Amino acid sequence: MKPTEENRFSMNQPKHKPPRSKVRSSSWTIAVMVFLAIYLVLQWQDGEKNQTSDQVELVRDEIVISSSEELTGRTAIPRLKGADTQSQIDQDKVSQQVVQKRQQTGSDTSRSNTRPITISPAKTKQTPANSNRPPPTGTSKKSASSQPELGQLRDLGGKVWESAAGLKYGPGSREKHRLLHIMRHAEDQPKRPGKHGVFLGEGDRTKVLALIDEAYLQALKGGRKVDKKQEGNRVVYTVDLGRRIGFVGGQVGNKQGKPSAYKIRLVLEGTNVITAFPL
Amino acid sequence: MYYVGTCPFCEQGSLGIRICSKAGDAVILCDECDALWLSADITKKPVFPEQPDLPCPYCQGNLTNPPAHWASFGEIYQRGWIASVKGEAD
Repeated sequence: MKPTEENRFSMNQPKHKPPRSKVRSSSWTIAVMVFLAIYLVLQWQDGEKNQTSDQVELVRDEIVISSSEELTGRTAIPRLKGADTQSQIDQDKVSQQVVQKRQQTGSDTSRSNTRPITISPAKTKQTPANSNRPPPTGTSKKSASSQPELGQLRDLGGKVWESAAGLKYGPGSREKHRLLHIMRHAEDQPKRPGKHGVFLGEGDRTKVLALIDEAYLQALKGGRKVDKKQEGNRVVYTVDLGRRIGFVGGQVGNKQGKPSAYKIRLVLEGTNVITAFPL
Repeated sequence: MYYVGTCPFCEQGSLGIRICSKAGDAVILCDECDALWLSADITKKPVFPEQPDLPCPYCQGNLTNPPAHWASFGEIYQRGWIASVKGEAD
């Protein structure tokens, strides 16, 4: 604004000043300064007078804002309040918006006065609807998708492997490792005395471990389908998965015609797997 | 492996007679869940030796690594546990 005014007035000045015009040029500068001061004062006074019309306009703007707020449900609380409280809130909002709008018009005169206010206290309030942050559901989906699938193993070192559900398989048993011991239950042993639970999955280790993971997660949730027995640091979970997950083999199971198994028994020490089998 | 019954704890494993690696002590050990009994009376509560070495409860040996082994018929006879044996498994 100021350079424009100066340029406008400087255009009226003669291009080639005579030497005696030094005094005249300084008087021109003073005149320009005074004019600018008067102009700014008049602008400020004009702004004060237009405050009332701005408020009317802002009420219209408020309607625009409220309609957008209805989409987010943010007007539900003010509507529950009394009429006086609501009008007081509206007045406060209008006065705050007047100040903000004045700042906007002062900084950017090219904006239209009829344009709906896009910056207001209600608008700048960070809500999930207007926040730039990604919604939490997206984050949880991302973390869920980044988690390994049940049955997947992670090497913890020291010959210990951790499943997706957090079960640990380490050295131990006659087979020297719990994973090998578990995989004994991937196929039948018809000559084994008593029962021998056999997992479905055609000997696929990932499928067997996925069933164990599923049973463990359900055991942690608890419920009617979970039976828990504890002795010292040993915990035995018997989890009914509600579907056929294997059959009963061994000498007894084969005599009975390999009945279906719907449950998994987990023998754990903390999260360390001792054994797991269908029954 | 000669067994004396089915494990009452996990209800799946066979209870074999295990000879420890050092002093030749005999215990009853579940081949499924490693539950351990100090005598052939499996109606008592089992103990659960530390994993994965399964130290012998009587000496400084263990029940996992050789020369620890499943008891032969002669070793069972020597200890007077023949009457408890129910059968032999692979």
